[in-house]
Amino acid sequence: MKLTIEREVLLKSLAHVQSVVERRTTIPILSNVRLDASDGRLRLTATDMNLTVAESVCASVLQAGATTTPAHMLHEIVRKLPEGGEVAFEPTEQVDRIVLRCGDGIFSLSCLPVEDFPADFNAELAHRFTIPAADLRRLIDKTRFAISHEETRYYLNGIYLHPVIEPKPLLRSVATDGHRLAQVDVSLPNGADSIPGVIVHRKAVTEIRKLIDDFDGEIACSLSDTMARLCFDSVNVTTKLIDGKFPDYGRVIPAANDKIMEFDGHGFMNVVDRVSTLATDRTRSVKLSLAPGELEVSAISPESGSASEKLPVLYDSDAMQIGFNARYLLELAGQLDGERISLAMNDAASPSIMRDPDDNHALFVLMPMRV
Amino acid sequence: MTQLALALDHRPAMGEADFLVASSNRDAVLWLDRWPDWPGAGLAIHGPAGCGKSHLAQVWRRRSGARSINATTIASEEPATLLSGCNGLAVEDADRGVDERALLHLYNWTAEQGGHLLLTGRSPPARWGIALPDLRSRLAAMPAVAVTQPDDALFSAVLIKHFSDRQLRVGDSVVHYINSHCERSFEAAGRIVAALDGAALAEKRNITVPLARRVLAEIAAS
Repeated sequence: MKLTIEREVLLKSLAHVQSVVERRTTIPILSNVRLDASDGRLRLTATDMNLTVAESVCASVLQAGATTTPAHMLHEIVRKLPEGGEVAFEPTEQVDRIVLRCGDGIFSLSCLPVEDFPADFNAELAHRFTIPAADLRRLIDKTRFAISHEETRYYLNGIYLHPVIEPKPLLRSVATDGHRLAQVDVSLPNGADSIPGVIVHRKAVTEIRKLIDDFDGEIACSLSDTMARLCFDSVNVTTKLIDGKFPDYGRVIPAANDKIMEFDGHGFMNVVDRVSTLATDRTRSVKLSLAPGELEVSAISPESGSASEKLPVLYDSDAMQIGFNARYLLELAGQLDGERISLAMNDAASPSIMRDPDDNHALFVLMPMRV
Repeated sequence: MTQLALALDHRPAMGEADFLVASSNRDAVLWLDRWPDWPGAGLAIHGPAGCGKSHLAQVWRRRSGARSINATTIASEEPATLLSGCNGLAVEDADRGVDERALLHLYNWTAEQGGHLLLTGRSPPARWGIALPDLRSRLAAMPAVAVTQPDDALFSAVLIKHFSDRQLRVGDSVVHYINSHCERSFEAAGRIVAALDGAALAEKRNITVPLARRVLAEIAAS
C-alpha cells in the first residue's frame, strides 16, 4: 500500500473512526484501524465488534493495498503533524511495518494482517428509510442525557427508537435511567412505519452524534431486530442493537397531573443553580414550595447553612412542596428550546412532567425526591 | 432527601421453556405432561407462594388451549360462558375466597363436557376448609400434587430467573451470596430480587454483593 493524503483530511477521518476503538482491549487487532487504499480512495475502518465505523476519503493511491495499524497512535501522530502537510504511507520490507512520512518526520508503525481484522457486516437489513440529519440530531440531543450508565440495567443503556402511528405518524426516541425519562418525536420518515422498536447503545449514539454534527443532508438508515446501519456522506456506521426489551414507558408518564406551574426557564435555572450551591450532599437536592403566583426554591445543608429564593410563576392550584435533584432539574430545563417551561405535578411522590408549552413533541418525566 | 424511582415494569417469562424443572416440582410437571390422560376432570397443584404454580398453569393453559381465571371471579360467569370455545380452565388461588357453589357447578359442568379443571392453591384441597359436602368429596377424589420449597440448585436458578425477568445483569457472586444468606423459599427469592432492583434503581448503582448484603439486612430488620 502506497499513498499520499492531505493531513487535514486524514486527521478528520481518523478522529471519526478512532473513538470507536477501546483504549483497553484484550484483542490486539481491535486496537487497530484498517486502511484500504484503492481507486483514489483511502477507506478507514474501526470496530469494537459491536460498533463499526468506516469512512472513505480522497487520496493519491500509488499502489493499492491494505493493512491495519494502531488507531490511537496513528491519530496522535497525525494530530501532531504540521498543519497543511501531506502524509505519505509507504510499505517496508518488513510485512509487519508501515512507514508514515510527513515533511522530515518518519514514523515506522507496527501492523497486523488485514485478514485478522473482523469482516465487514454487509448483510441487507430488512427495513430502510431516510431521515434528515437535523431530525436525528434532535432525537439524540434531547434524550441521551437520560440514558442509564448502570451496566446491570443493560436494557436502559441506550435510546429506544420506535415508530408511533396514532394519533399522528411519528418517529420517537425515549431514554430513561429510572429517575427521569425523555421522550422526543420527529415526523415519521417514509418507510419507517414498520420498523421494530430498537435500543441503540449509548456508545453508538455518542459516535453517531459526533459523525452527524456538521452534516445537513439525508441519512440512509437500515434496520433489523439486531442491527442498524447509517450511511451518509462517505461514512458508514453499523451497530449491533441492545438485546433487551425496553419497558412499557407509557405507564410511567402521568396523564392527569393537574398542578401546573409555568415559569421563565432562564430565571428558573439561575435560581435553582444558585440555591443548590448550598446543598452539599451528592444529589444537591432542592425543595420547591409552590403557592399561587409564587415559587420558592430552597435548600438546606446541616454543615453549610440554608438558601432560598423566590420567583414569580403562573400557578393557581393548591400550595404544595416537592423535592427534586437540582442537577436533574437543570438538565431537563436545559433540553427545552423555548423561553417558558411548564411543570405539571400531582403530588410530592409522583412523577412530574416538564415540557416547553409550545413544543408538543418533547416531554420529560422527573421523579421527585422524598422531602 | 432520597430519590424516588420510576415504576418501570417487567414481564416474567412464562413460557414452557422458562420453567425450571427440579426435584421439588417434578411431580407436578409429570402430571401436566400426562394431560389429557388425567384420571378425572381435575388436578390440583399446591405449594407455597412464588413456587411456580401460576407458571405451571400458564404452561398447561397454552398446551391445552384452556383459559385461566382467578378463583374469586368464577361466580361472575356461567360455566358455559367460562368454557365457551375451550375445554379446560385453570382456576388460580382456589384455596382463597372461592364461591363453593360456583366451583361445584363449574366442576360438574366441566366433567359433563369431558373437559378439565386445573386448580392451584397454597395448601392441598383437603385443607381448604370446604363446607359444601359435594364439592369436598369431589376435591378429595381429585389428584393433588405438591410443589415443595427449592433446594440449593433450584433456588439459585429461581434467583437467576427473577433477575433475568427484570433484565438485570448480576454476577454469580451476588446469586451465591443471596443463596447462602437468606430464607430459601420461592417467595423470598422474588421479594429479595424486587428489593434489590428497587434499591439499585433508586441509587443508580449496579447490583453487587455489598448492595445485596445491605438490602438483605434491611429486609431482615423489617
